[in-house]
Amino acid sequence: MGSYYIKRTLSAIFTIFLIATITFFMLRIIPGGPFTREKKIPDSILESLNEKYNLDAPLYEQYFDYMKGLVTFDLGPSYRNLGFTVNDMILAGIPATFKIGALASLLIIIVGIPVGIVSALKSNTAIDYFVMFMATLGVTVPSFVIATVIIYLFAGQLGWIPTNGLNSPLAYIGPVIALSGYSISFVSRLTRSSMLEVLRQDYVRTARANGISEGKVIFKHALKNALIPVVTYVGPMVAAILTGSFVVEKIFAIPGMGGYFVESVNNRDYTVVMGMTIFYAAFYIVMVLLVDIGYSLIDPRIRLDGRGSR
Amino acid sequence: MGDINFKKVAKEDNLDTEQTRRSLTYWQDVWRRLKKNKSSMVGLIGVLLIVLFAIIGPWLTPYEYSDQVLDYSNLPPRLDVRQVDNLYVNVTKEYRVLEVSEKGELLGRIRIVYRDPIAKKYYYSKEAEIVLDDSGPDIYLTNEDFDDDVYYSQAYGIALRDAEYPGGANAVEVVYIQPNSPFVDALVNGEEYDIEEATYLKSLEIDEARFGDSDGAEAIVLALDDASMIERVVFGEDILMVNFSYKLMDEGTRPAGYEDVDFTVTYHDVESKYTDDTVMNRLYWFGTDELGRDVLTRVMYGARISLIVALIATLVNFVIGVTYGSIAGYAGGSVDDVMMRIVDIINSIPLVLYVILLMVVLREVVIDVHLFDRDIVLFRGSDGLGTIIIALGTVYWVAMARLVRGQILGLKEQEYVLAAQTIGVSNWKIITRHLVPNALGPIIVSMTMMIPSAVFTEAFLSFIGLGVSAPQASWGTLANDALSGLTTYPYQLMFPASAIAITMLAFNFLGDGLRDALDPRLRKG
Repeated sequence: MGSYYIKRTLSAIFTIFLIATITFFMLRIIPGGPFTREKKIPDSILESLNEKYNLDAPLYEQYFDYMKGLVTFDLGPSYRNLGFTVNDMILAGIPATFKIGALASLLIIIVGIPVGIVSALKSNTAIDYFVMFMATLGVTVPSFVIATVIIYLFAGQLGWIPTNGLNSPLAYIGPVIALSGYSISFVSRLTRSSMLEVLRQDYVRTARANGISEGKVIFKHALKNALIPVVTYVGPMVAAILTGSFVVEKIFAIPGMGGYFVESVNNRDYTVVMGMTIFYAAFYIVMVLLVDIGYSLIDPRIRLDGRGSR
Repeated sequence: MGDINFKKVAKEDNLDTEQTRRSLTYWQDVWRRLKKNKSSMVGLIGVLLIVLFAIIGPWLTPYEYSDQVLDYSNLPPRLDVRQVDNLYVNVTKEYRVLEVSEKGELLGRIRIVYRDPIAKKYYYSKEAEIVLDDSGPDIYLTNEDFDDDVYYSQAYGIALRDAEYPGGANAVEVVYIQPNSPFVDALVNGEEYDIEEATYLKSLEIDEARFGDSDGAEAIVLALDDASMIERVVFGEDILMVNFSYKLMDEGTRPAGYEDVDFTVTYHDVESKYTDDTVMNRLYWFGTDELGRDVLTRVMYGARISLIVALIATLVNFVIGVTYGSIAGYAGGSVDDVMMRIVDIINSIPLVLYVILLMVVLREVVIDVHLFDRDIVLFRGSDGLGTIIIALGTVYWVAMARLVRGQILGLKEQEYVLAAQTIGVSNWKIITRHLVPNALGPIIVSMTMMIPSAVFTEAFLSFIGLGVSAPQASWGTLANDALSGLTTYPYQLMFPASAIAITMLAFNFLGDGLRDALDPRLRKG
């Protein structure tokens, strides 16, 4: 029983460690090192920079130093924004990113699931076709297109919402919709197909034959089982929101982590890229771990199987 | 019921009622089922059209993807045309005036000769010339920014300086042009020179100078036989005036009936207050971008780049995924365990992070070999195209590997595999000849689904600045470039964005249909 949780936790920690290692070595094999710029830096400055950031030490020593830092949640300094550490940048970006991320997740749940249920219950009607058409559009149109269309229509032409920042409650509307568009569509499609499948099951027919009211059949018997695959989607959903935030934050000029990440990728600020990659991966892995543990509490089959059902 | 109700049938007639039909192979059956599915046929036709668009399209347009015509930058697909006197003009959002034909063909730009920013009146002229005179007095420049030998012509906003150009003759150097001066490029002995390039011109005489925006133009050297001064600028009769002051008017202060008047155009004393017609842009069907490149051509080349990236990345994924998955599935036991554990670990972080990381690393990598006394660059990461293919191709095989392994696990228990093993067929041959072909259905479906997601990821990467480098452009790059001018030129984003969405839709429809056709049991409700 407990061994499943221990195993999952250990493997998550191992995965984070592995990702940190791979990230570290990948960014170290970049030719030229972190201070290569278009303009040549004088050798003396380069030397002192190398010394300051300990780049003269042998690679394994740097690696151990970095790992030591990781254990204490110290991701090192930024090479471009002198005086800032990677931690500073992550901490500065967290509030905005998490606010829109949390709102987007909420929207996905309160819109995606009910829409999917309605669409399944009214399958092959005009409502169903409309919902499925919108959901297909939502899955196929990239988030940056949704975001730019929102800006163009609602911020530009109609002037209802601000084009950038997060300074008023209205300003959240654009980023949150752009961020959740894909997942809302996906969740409603998933809910619909799994609901349809469950409604065809024998026990649902039995429940109906026993004269249980339709509402009870749907919400008590069908929905519980239909939501299992939807719960599994939470992990990938976190990924979609995390990576979606790169683009959405860039377009709406939100001072969040995604914006910093894209900026540091374009600035070749390698320590920030490294630190943020590890942070994103770790966050994602922990989220999936939590979902899996919660999930195994609901559905014991997974625990006994010993492996996630994904 | 008597005998009358029945009729005796001859034996050979009886045979006809038995249903017979040609037996179909698996793939014929798949094709039959696919044809029945309407949405997947729409998808298939869509995919074919997109591929044709990408392959043939660029041959049909008269433009290259990198052709720049700065005079025609940021033109929309539909032009607002005004008729003033005998002239049809289009006034762009950047206050450029373009001459067009009645049907919407662009004929050329009418250069700006003078701006009056306070009255919001801009003057344009097709023809203008500089008249040279060596007798008139010059205003000696007192501005301390210039050296003592600089002459300054207040009227034309041009500073002139005596200079010697390398050829030895005297020259007049135009060192400074006032922001509102019209002096940009000059026609010297019939040859056109760009002032911004500050060239020494080996010429004895200036015939004529053209006028246009001078922003950014600061220096030019015109060589003259003697240091003669520009006496006056003749604009000719063809002055076209655009009065933008209407644009600033509130609804209350506008003249009655002028609700939709943005500005007025006056030419030969004829005033045009309204847009006469909105016609198709015949030269650039989808409009042009900020450098005056044809958007249609760029979207077609973008289709090439996006589809090539997606296709090659999918093929690489296919090779790696199928090899990895079939080895794991066929070997089984501890080999399978280890291989699948690796897949689990790879699968447990968002793959986009890997791709971004790979792109960051690869774009710095240059691989060259020294052959026959020449350096041959095999791979240059900063080009983007190879980099993005490698990054996408080496990361997304995990799902394919899992799928193939699952299929192979089931298939290897079949009798025909046992039979092959018994007669001593090598393991490799069993995998390639017996197992993989039988698992091809799901593999094809998965590949069809992989193409749109590769297009998607590529667009995403280009959008955050990690895509192919200029002047090449994928759909994502085009969308990213269009972002800055979104509110003014939304069509620049609309076209590449719709191209992405249509491609994704078409491939998704086709993939769904293929899945139903290849394996009817998987059909969803």
